[in-house]
Amino acid sequence: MPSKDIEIKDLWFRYEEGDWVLKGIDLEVEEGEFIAIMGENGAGKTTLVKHLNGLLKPLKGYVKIKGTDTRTVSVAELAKYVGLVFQNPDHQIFAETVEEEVAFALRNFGFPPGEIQRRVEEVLREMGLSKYKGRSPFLLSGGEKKRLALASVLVYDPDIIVLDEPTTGQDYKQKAVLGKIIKQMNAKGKTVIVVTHDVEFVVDLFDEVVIMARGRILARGRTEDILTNEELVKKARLVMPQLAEAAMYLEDNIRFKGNYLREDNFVKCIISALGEDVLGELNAGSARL
Amino acid sequence: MQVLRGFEYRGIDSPVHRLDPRVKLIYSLCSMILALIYTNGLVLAAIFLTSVPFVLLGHVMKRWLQMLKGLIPLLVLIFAVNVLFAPNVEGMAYATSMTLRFLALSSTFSIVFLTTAPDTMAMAFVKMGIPYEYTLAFTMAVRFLPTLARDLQRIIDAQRSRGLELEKGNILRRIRNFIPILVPLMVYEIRRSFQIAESMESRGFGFPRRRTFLHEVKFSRNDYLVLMLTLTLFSALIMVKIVLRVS
Repeated sequence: MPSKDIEIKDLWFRYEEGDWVLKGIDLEVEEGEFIAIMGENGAGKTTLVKHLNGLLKPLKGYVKIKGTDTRTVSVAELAKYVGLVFQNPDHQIFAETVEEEVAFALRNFGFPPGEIQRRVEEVLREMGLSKYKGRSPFLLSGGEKKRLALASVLVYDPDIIVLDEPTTGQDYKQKAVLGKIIKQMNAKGKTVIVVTHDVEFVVDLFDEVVIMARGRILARGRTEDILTNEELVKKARLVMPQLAEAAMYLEDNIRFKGNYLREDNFVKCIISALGEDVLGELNAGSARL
Repeated sequence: MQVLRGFEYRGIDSPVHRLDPRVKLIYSLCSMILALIYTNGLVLAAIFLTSVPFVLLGHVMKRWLQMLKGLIPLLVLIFAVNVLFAPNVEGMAYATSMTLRFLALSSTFSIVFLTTAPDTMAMAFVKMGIPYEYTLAFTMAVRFLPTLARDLQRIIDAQRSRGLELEKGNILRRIRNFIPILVPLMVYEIRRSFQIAESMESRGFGFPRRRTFLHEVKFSRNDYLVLMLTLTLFSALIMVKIVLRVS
């Protein structure tokens, strides 16, 4: 039986005397799971994520990381197991060189110098940042900074990796690069949680989604079930993936079934719905044109 | 941090909030002068107590008390240092006066900020002849304090997530611990201020020679009333000081 990496039970939280931001969150994540948490701004996603390494402590309920209650250990202790990458890399870049920036966490955790050297070089290579090793991190582009922030967490090899809005402000190509890196981390056996409201990013990458709205978890399930559920998507104030919307229009006219959230499947669905005959006619038609 | 909240404006409406900021500034200035020329504990206590009606009418009791509570360590320090230098009955009396003086100064000063919107304050400055650019710098500084606090929190969160322990090590180590916090903060805020400057210029800031304002501050009956009361008490106490030679 796989052990539980994250166990959240009836978590309630609010900032000072404000309204409750999290209202009874229950969530269990097992080792090696790969989950996207979605929800509109103010749904409580970032607040939830900050509970995972103890930056915030539950006011009611509990959060356990690998069986340890977050209230009993320091953030630095938890950070060894949970790597949190925040939305804006500018909130953490401070060192004189890219190399130093990446080595920061390793020094905090007391790694020996040789090991630091080896790990920093490895992770910079993986992130495609090796050529900037001696450069000032402030001079990197937006996408490079994002990868640097990721590198500065991956370098100490935490078991659980949590990314808050990794795609914000990234162009299509950078998004694809990030997606690949994230997928690779999971393939290496890491538990990966990504907070985002980028629907297409989730469709491309994730098999499992958690939907949050107004401090509660509305649903959790397979991406193709959750994101095609019109009512649920509406309730969470998200938008449906474009392919799902297209499928909805098509459903009114033709029999449309199967998992159509990815482009290749979508095309297959259309073909099977139209039937070979129609397709033959179409081909003939296009040949005439 | 708690002390700072005693100076933070919240948008509520009350007779004190509606007073012309210039009147409140004059009140604060008069109290300040009196608090500085008097060492008599009774007078200083009286000056301190003049802020009570403002606090009550202005509905800012909670914030005001928070500010006072935050002041306690400083007050204790002032008292202790003064007693230390003259550990006798006179010294005790003097220490009490000095503590009361500090209390009176911070209390009257905080009332102005607690009950005046930064924008209104800026308009009062403009009316007093201070160039708009300077007043704007003031309002923006006040306006951006919460933003700054939020950025600081985010940076602290990010660095703690990378294993930074602020409370660890000896003094030297602790000072060094602040580098990963302060560098991003400064870079970020400098960059932000350039962005703000650019967005202001693109909206035409600095173009018109003469500015007009949507809302103007004007004296009302209450303003004259408070002003009269303040000035009367002020001159009376000045006279007492000169004629009766009260310390």
